[in-house]
Amino acid sequence: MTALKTSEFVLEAKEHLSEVCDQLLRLEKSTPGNIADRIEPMLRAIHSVKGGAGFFGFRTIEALCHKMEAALERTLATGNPPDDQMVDILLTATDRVAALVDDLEGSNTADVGEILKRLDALSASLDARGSSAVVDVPRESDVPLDPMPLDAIAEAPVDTGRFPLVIDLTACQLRGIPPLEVVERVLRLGQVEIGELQWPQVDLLDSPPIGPVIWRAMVVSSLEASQFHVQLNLPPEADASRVGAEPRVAVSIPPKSPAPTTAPREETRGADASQSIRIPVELADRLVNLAGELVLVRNQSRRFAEANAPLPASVVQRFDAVTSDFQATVLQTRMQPVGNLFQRFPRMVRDLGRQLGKQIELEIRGAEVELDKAIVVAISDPLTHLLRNACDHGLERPEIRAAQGKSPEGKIELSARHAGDQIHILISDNGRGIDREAVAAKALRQGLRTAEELARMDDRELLGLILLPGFSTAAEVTEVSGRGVGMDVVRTNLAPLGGTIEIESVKGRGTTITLRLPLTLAIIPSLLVEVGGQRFAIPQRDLEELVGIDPRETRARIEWTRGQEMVRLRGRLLPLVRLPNVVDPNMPSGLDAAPPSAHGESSALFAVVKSGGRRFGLVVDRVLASEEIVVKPMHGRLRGLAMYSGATILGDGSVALILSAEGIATVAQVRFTTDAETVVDSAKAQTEEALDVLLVRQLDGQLSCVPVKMIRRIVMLDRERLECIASKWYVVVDGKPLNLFPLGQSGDPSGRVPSAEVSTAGVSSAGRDKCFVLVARDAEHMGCLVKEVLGTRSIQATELQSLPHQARVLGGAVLLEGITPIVDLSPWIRDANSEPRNSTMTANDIHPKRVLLVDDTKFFRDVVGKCLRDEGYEVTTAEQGAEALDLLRAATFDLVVSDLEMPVLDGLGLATAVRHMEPLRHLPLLALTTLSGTEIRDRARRHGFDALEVKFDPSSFVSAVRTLLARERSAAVVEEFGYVG
Amino acid sequence: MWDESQTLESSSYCGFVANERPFAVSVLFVKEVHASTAITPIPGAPRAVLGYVNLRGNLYLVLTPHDLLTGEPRWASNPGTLIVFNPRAGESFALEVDRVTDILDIPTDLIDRTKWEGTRSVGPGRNFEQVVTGHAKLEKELVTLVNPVEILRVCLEENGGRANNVQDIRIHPKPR
Repeated sequence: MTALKTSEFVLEAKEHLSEVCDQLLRLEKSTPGNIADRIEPMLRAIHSVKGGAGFFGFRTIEALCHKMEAALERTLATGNPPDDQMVDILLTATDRVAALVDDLEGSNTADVGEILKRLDALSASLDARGSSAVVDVPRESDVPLDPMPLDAIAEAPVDTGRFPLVIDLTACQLRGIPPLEVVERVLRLGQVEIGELQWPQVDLLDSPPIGPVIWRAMVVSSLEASQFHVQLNLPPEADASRVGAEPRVAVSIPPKSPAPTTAPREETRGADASQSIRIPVELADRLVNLAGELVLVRNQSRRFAEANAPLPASVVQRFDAVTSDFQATVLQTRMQPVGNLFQRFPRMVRDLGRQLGKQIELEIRGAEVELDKAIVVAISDPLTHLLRNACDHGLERPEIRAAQGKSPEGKIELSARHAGDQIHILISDNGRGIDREAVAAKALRQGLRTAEELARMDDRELLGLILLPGFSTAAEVTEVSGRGVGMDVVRTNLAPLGGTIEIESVKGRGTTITLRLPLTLAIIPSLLVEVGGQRFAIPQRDLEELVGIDPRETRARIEWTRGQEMVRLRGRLLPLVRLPNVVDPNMPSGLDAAPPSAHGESSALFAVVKSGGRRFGLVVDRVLASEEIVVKPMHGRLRGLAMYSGATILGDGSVALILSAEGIATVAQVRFTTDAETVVDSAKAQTEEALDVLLVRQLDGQLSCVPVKMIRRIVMLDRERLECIASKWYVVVDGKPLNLFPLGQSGDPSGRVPSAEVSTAGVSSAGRDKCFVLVARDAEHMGCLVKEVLGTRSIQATELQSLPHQARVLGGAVLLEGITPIVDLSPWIRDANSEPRNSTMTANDIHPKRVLLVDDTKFFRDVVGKCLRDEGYEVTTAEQGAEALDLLRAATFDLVVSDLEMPVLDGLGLATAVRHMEPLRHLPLLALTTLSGTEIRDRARRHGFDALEVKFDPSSFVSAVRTLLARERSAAVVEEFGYVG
Repeated sequence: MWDESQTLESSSYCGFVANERPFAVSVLFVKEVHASTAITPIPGAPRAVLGYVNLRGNLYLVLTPHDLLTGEPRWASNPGTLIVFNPRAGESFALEVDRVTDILDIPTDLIDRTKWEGTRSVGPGRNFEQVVTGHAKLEKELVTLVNPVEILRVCLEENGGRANNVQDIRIHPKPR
């Protein structure tokens, strides 16, 4: 018997047991007509486990599976679905088998007498009652419990309140925690039912034991196992349950008789499923093929090296392409559907519902979304805690819900979805919501915040207080939750992953908690910057844009407000953080710390980074390069340094620290002001809308604008890197091929073939051989090729012109050089993706949806209207809210898209009015504005809008329109704003 | 792989010098000795942390034990030598010392496990006692034996093991 074979058995058994658990939960809700569909797959699964266990000689598992089979066969014979108690017994038996599979070596000596008795009694009852579904089965408390022998500690199922503990006391001692201290910590958190000490075989007369001394105990605590371990605060290496080698001698406390010497457990110990990955054969084949290609490229390179000839660009590019593909495929092997994690929760929610006397429906969506395996493992505890919280504190008891006019059955929705290079996991409940006043009162009482600070906080900041250690607004501590420990654990577990948590709640309507997670931890794109002579990496996922302030404008644009350095950026105030001040608060800060420019003025270059949903500027000295980096975790003892999410080794072998925007915001205590405060001149903003654009020079020298919202990032590169394949232009950036669409192209943009325009139209700011790629925000594989990037401009509405007959332009901007076209990237992306226009709108083609577009700016009415018409919608326009209301009274529309700032009746007023018009209460409303941020989203939501889009990213806008038209209003509200309407 | 047949402290020690004072760690903890190379500072880390070093694609945390062991920062400004420890001593870390002297075979009977007694004008850090496992009276000098596990723990405490007031430190023997 080899460890490999038993580990295969463990993996398969776990899959089968998961299937059994899943089917048992469905069986509970099945009808007599379909119980065979549920029981037969279970019988096959259990039979497979039994067969495997028998083959390897795990007799206890085999016996238990046999009894489960018998009980299920009899249930099938009755023709009626089993009741709750019967399902309970079968679920308990499944848990027991799973626990035995987790520790195969001890499985044969495990005591399973109690559960065997219950299964026997269940089978006997089913036999006696014949086809009757009402059977008298023993409850757990009816069966006398035998004292658990020491051998059974490892096999005990991990349940809340009672779980096994295996601690390496030697490891604790080496970390300066003496054994007595360990015992004291354990006893502070719970009681020890039974325990034993184990150490390697040694003659105690000669010397004290050397090597690991293991304490195995069964612990009873009011904490759940994961929280217990967190509170215990022992070093990770003290967790002996994960160590392969075990001591050979065991002595029990209190001593009964010398425990038998056991063989090393490596051979038969159950494989830890978290340490292995199953990948499809197809993926393995692709890796083998790529390895073959790598060998070919290596041989090619070797030939040039042997001839002392320089490596041609084609070989380097081929090497680049193969390694990129190899990297992507290897990363793919780490990706797992998040459903693997989600599948355990229906059972947990069912059990909690029964324990708490609540009816709870758990709906799971997006189970197919894939995440890095390390992240799936790491979010297991946070998700468990959040769901337990939702069951215990989020949802009300059935009678209370009924009294409030809600359905007695509470609903929790667990969903996962892609959002750019992140995964968002949402846990929504339609329960009581979080009481903001209670949160504020508790924070004040505990001295966490002053009354003044609380008054200044927006909803998000206030709700964020519940993430602080020890903070709980639960009126009472229950067995499930309420101690104020868990939310801190959630945040702590997410931080090393680079994940963030966001809470939205509406009192009486429910709470939505959003976990934002990176797709993978292994290799990430980043921006390398220099601060104080040291290089740091900023993950691209945290990065929004880079801004350089002209030295002459520094003093005018950077100011201090309430102890926080702020910068004016496009009419808004943005908190500014200087890394040296975060590390050492005594460092000079503010303008004095800014490096002087050649003109003697202070200059500022900063990266706008995202922390949760908010942004701040991180001042850097220099921007070095964009690079894909391999993430290495920080040293275990330095994880308290929240400013860093890890470290990486750069191409030259040096080390760079990876900055964490979330951590820096926390350590620097960044004061995010509310949107109302950040709008520098709100009165002006009300009347003068503006479009932020990037001013570029096309390849033919013509000036163009591209809306900033459409661009993810800008890459400068050598023209010779451009590749033409089948009349299309490509470039490899960060190991990924980018499909290019040259702006103003009339010749070979690579410059290899002389092109009159390129060679004579002047030299770009980066030199004749350079060009720029604007990577599209909504299609990372697409880029727009331009000759020169001139900077950003905020184009006021009065400077915007419609250009109705121009293809691929949104309109024009009146600049010094005349009317400059504003380029629309969407058609290129659509063409490149070969997306048939309106492909999802077959029904709409027959009965076009009617959209009412309300905007006081003609330019936006034209641009947005054209965008909607291109999608096949029938569009009617209005210039302000009052006119829109008249149209709504006169005709039927499927959707209203409205600007917020308008004369006479603004968008918020329009939404409020619509929600008070009975026939239009559920009409989808989409706000389209140049303002952004949490505050404005909250305001829009409170006034009745279902979603908000910022002007103007056509792809995102069209996607929002489709979503709203495809869904019922309530669903759309959950999706966009995170509450259940 | 840890050999259970050996104790945590064998009779072989890796000798090193910090601020001209001789110290030694059990060779069972030592993975390799390496010439010091470019170290990337970690702003905000405890003072005893010099930073990260890349050794063959692996990151090691580099600590300076001088404050802790001698009560003073490192005198020398030239690059020192890295003693890289194996996982038994703790998660990937190394000590930058002035130089590594030799592998010392110290018979057990030459090791004095009692604590050092005396007052020094410039004494070692206040956590010095916690990292010392004994003293070996060799032919030419008295070598202090130190435990790298404790050095890692103490150095990563908030003040990096530095004494608050090194002038007043007295080290008393513990009663046997």
